[in-house]
Amino acid sequence: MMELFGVSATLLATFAGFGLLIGILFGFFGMGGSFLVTPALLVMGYDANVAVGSGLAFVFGTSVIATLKHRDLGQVDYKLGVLMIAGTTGGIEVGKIGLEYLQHIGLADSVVSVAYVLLLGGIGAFVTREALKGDSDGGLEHDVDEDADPEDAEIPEIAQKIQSYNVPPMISVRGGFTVSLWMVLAVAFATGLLSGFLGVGGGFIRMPALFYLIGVPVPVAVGTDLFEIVFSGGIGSFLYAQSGAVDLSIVVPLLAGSALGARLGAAATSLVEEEDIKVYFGIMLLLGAIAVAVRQIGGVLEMPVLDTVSLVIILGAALLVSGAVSYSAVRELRADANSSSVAADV
Amino acid sequence: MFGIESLSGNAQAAALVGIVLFEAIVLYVGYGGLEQLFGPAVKRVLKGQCALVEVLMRRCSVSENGGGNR
Repeated sequence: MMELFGVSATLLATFAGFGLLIGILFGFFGMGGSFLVTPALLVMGYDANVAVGSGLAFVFGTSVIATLKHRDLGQVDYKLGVLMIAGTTGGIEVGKIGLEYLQHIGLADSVVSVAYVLLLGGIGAFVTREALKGDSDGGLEHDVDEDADPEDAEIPEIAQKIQSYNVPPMISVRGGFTVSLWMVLAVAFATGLLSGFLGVGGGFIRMPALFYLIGVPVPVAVGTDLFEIVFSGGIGSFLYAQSGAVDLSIVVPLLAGSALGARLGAAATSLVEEEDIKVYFGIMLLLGAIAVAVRQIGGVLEMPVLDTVSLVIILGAALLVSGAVSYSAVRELRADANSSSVAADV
Repeated sequence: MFGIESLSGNAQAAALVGIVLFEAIVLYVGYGGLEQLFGPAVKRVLKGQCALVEVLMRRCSVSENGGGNR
């Protein structure tokens, strides 16, 4: 069999194809890397530390590429990103202390699993419900317009409440509004706390938090979240690489595929309707919650087959949602082409 | 892979992270170049304005202002 750098070409192609799929989701939502890669590597028989370490290194590379792309589209708020990093780091430390305490009393596994399923399922159900009940002519613009009147934007109620607290210093945020620095740090700390407690990257917590709690337009929330993941992923992969847990024969082809996918996914955020993005995101999280729940049940009942079922659900969700994103983007592109040709005829 | 096995501890970790960062930047620039070269043609195929065969045979104009098939 053909080999490259001592690795089977089939395996490299499989990783590149899988990377393409994940890249579309990552570029589109700003989340989904380790959430998809790590369980897949575990089922393929890699050691847990290699699965987590390589997953983190992959997330780091993909987030670098996706952040650069979002920056080109004007969808990264660096000031907000740096503040989020500061608040999140503090939250992660406190979350880890809570987790260590639970490990000490022997309740960590069950508490974390239940919290993970409830959080994924809860956010998924909330986002999907909000998107489905929202009227189609509301929503925010995909392309960030610095001159846009913030009054025109539909800001979630909780975010309006948070923005109304005038505790100085106030900072201006991309999207045309100001918010108290302390509120941003508090939201970042809370998301970091959950992230440290659950031992996950936290993109699926931060992206909705930026939108629903601070009121940042969805594309900017995605771009800013990716910017933060560059730092958390970089530090995480360095720590795992110190113990030799980063396997380049996994990371390099995955990244090659996902770089293309992330480009497509990031471009699709400017084409697909805002409400559609939220629905896809919600469905993705709901299916993720089901997959985690199935794996936990498998662990309790000692049925390894449920691990495979869980992986099939995760991969199926990735395939379904990335397919839906690509289809919606092409449909919007064709609709634009038709409307401009009609306009040209008139 | 890439001959960094001889390095130890922190140096190897830094080299691994550096390789991933380097690959990410190369891919970003490389795919960016490919997008500039082939992006307009792919966009026209996706919009349904040209067939893939026409693009491959260079029979599809990629200009935004009217273009159309030659």
